[in-house]
Amino acid sequence: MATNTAGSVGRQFQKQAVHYLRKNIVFGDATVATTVGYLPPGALVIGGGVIITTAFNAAGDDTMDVGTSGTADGFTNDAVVSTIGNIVFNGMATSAVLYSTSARTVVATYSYTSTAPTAGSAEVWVKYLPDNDR
Amino acid sequence: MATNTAGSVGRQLQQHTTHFFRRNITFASTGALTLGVLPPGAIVVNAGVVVTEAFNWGTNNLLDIGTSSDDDGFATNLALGTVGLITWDELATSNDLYSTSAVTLIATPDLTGTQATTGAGEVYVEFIPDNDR
Repeated sequence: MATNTAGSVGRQFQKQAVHYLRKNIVFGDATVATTVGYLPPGALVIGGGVIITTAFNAAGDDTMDVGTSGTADGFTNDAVVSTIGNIVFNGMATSAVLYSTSARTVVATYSYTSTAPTAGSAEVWVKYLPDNDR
Repeated sequence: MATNTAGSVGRQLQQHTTHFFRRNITFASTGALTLGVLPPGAIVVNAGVVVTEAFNWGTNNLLDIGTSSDDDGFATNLALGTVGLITWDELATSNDLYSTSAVTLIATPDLTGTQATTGAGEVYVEFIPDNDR
């Protein structure tokens, strides 16, 4: 039935399985809010992190924010990405953007200081529960 | 083939994905709230509550998460007074993470004191069914 209301582009399967978004970010993406993916209305973000597969190597600081297009550091703020490993989100305990009745865009932003990096690659991942458990 | 043994009502998808239960609570919630039923053999790997609106009862704003026989088996007295993700605190020592039987999961708010005017959250439990053979 036509509703005359545009649907969300957020991924939502019919099953009550944990969903995820995942996006590769490299050193060339610096200072740009890269779209990780889309959350459907009612989605609940319950975890996430940044897995550094190649260390970012700017002369100064190498950090990453992950959040929504409205609050770019809503999930993690200034996560250090200059060493290899899984850096779990550091802002979840007090985040106000883990849930919304509206569709949202998740973004990741790599930043550096001093001389530009020549290497760096990471996989951003976000776990969420769609609003389908009724 | 008929087995003459009643099946479990626990949800178990065919795919090897982590499953979840989720339900809303508010400042008006009372008693033991059923989240769902784990199928036999499931293991619980994560749980918590996302507070979307801070609870403001005058005295206690707390939540337990567990099973019908151990209502704080996963989490005891999670604080609901601030917005954010409040994760379970019984992971390291819980003896309720696995059962060969179906298990009912519950969330029990402890809300006392002067009547609240706000408070909402989403309780969740993530589990892995016993289907990876």
